[in-house]
Amino acid sequence: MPGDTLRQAITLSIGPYNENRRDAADSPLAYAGTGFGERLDYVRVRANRRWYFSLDAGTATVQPVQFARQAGSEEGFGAYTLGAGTDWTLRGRSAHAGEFALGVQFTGALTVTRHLYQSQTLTEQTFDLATLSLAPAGRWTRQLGDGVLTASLALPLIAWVDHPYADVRYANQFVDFRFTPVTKFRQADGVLSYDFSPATRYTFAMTYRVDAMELDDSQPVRRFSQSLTFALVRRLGPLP
Amino acid sequence: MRRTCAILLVAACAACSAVVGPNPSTTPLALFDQVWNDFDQHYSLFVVKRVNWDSLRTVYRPLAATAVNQFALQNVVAGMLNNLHDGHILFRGISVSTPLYGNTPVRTVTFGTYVALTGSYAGGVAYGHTAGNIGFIEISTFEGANLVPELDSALAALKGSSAIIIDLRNNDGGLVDNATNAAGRFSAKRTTVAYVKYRNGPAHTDFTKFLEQQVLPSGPVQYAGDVYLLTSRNTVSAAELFVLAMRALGHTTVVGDTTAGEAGSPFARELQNGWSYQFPESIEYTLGGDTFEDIGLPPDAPVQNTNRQLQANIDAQLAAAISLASQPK
Repeated sequence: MPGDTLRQAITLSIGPYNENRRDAADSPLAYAGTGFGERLDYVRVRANRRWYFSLDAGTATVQPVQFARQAGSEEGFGAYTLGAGTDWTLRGRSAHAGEFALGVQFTGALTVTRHLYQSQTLTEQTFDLATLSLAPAGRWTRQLGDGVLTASLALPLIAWVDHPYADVRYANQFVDFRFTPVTKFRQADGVLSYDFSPATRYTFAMTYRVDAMELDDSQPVRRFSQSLTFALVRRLGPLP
Repeated sequence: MRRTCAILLVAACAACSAVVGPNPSTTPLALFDQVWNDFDQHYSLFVVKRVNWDSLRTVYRPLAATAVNQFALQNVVAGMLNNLHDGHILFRGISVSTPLYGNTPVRTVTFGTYVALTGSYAGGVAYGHTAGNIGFIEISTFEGANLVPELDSALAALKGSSAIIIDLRNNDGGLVDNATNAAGRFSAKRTTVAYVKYRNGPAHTDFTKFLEQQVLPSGPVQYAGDVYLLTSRNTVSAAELFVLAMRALGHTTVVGDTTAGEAGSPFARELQNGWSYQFPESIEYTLGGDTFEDIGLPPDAPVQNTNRQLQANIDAQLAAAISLASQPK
């Protein structure tokens, strides 16, 4: 059956990555900066079922957003994410309304911050935040011009968080994941993507990705990151 | 299309501000509260100092509320922190940063009188020979990347010495890694030399378990002979760790006065107005499980230098170390 044909795609994306964060473990100040991100995606589709897997890395040097004086503090920031998920396309697609899919997404994310303090001397400390989460995920796809526009959103409901109290080199609790209810850990991971030529073996795509996160613990964290990546897509197997 | 992009950009910026939120207030009270809370939640030595931190807040917060400018606020904060009597608390406010509770250099008589100077480096190491083929190394700090290579050069030059005296009497501390790496030049095997615990929770008694501080044999030149350490009340912090390490390694005798008693490593924090400060988030312990904060490490051979002796160019501590090193083994 044509619908049972296995289709796969590998996507390599690069582009600017913007990070905005405030982590009370290392500073009361908000830090922001723009760096560079890379991402590798693998997608596997058979019938109305889709599996996907991704590796994502973004690094940036961030600086205080509103630093009154004594500039010099900055952070080397890195965010590394592993994602995997599956979804099912809902029946009733139409050219006008597009296609909807619902599924579940697992995400493992690690952010590492090397914070430089301009104190008596310039000192460096390292902080991390690691999360494991499960999220219901929705995806909408629609033909737009010659290409395909896709929007997706994942909202974690179950999460385990490791947020060491102090410099991780000394806190001796680098891996100490604790279940964190949705009342304390909230996140939204949204993607807007355009595939310029969905019926060819090689194509280009453009993706805007946004991730907002809030952790309410004794040292709260607020993050907002966004990236605009340009991707080369390689399709394997029969073309759609 | 341009309009759509602009709208998306504005929406992204608005979302960013909404998520991350504005920076905290910089009113005097907000700044005071941030300092007080930072210490309350991270300072490691409340359990040793036995200072009533809540009480200090009650005293100093009203003063912060009436501070007329940042200088006045800085003085209020510094006044509160001074009650902790901790040389590891460094405060960088609106004026030049200083340790709030410092140590005083001690007078010594070494080079030119007891020691023939052979080499002196900018990083903090000077060395030479005393009578009787006894090597002498003065280490005045454990700061800086050059310190350990300088020590290696000194040890290479003093290789054939019958014993080595290391003068730490005016060593103001520095990097833990420098202290343990320096001790590695006198170590034959991996050795646990001290313990450390780190603050890891909001209660003053929240700490990690005891973590071992170890010394590994390291460096191009190893010295296995007898070592005599000269210490004083101005032997501070990382220099005290070096004393602990050398004692644990054996073949070491400590001569002079009790050390400063600063048993924590400072970590930095910053305020929303750009001020910053450092304070200990850890406590160091001897192999016996005792902290030496505010107590110091007593010498094996206590010797004091009196003012009269120093005026007469006599360094009784160094003379005692030379005498001990000269005794037949």
